[in-house]
Amino acid sequence: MQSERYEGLFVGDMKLGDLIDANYKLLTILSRLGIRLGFGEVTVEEMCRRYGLSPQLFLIICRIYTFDGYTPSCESLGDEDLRRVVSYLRASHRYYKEYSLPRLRKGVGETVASCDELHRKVLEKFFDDYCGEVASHFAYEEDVVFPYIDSLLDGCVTGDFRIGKFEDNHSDVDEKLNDMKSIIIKYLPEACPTEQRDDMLFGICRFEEDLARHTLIEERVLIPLVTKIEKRL
Amino acid sequence: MSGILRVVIAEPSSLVADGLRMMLEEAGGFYTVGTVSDGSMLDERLRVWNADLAIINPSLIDGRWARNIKASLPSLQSVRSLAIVYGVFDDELLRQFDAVAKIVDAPASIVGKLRHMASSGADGRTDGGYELTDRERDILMSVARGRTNKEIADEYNISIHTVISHRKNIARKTGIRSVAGLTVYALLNNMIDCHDLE
Repeated sequence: MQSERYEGLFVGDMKLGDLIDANYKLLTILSRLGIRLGFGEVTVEEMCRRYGLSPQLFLIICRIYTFDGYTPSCESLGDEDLRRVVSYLRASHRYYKEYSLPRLRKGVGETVASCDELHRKVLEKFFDDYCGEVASHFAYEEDVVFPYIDSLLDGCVTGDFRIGKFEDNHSDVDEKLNDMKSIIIKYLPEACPTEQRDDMLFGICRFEEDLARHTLIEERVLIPLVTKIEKRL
Repeated sequence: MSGILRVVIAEPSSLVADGLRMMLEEAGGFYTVGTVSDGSMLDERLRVWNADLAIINPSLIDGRWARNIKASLPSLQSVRSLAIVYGVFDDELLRQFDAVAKIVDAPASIVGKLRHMASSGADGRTDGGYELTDRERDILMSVARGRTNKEIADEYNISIHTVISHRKNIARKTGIRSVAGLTVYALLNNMIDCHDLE
């Protein structure tokens, strides 16, 4: 099976530096897991021990971020790993809300600054509305899904929410982001400066890719782990 | 195509044909090379008069060719066509024209469609093309103004299924799916202005 092939590519006795060298985008995962740079020649296993992480979970996240067709087996992951996944997803939301989106918003502002007022307002509003939708999507997870998982892990579930109800309402959000890309690539007024436009487009593409991997972690790690506990109860 | 556009009017009513000719004269940039009131002569006339654009009343299309008007009017491979409508016609027939205008439409809107047709590529309206057809532009503007599929279907007298199929083509051609995104598109391309937004 293809997924097993990927397991051999990222392994615990690999140098952490080599892992990042294989996919530099993993850098942003490290910061979200609280791992600081300057780790020298440390291996993945040593780094995980230092930060109290399970190497298995860390490698699963890295593989999901790197290999498109990879679906992990979550058999050997336990409750502590689920806590770590939730804390990772929370940190990831913070990263998007406090860093990625404000930065993109600034880029949009700079790019459209020289447009007609109407065009400028329309483009800024489109992006602001998008950010609002993303924020409410995150809020749903933070206010409903994550607290439910916390209570599940503490063995004191109240209410009738179950993970099966976790709606995948990403599609609207994805659609808007895709539209934003089409607008930037094809229909932006000529008045927009090229360099800012390019930076903004790269930023949006990077964000889109990151968000897609984030969603995969929810689908392929979070939901299977929660389902496993629900079955046990 | 540049300079003066050569127009052929195919219309059974001389009153309507004269009205269209005057409308084009007033607008400027068009020259009505001739008028035909009978469909059987149309293809030959389009060729002989070296037309750029044809304004055609769909009632002149022989019913046998309603499903493939270009088979009976091969000139339409190169001449852009606008259907001028004041009756009820099958949507499948109307879709084969490059644009459709109603007789009650404002002259500026009809002239705008003719100019747009003339400036878009020759294969713009084929299904694999990337230029929006005039009907797709109309529907896109309605979507951008916040109309539902049902309202659009009623407005253009077409089925909801047809509206959805147009919207799929619009999404494919523009790369934009959301209503909010289409509104941005329409505003950036000056198809609507901010007064159109409620």
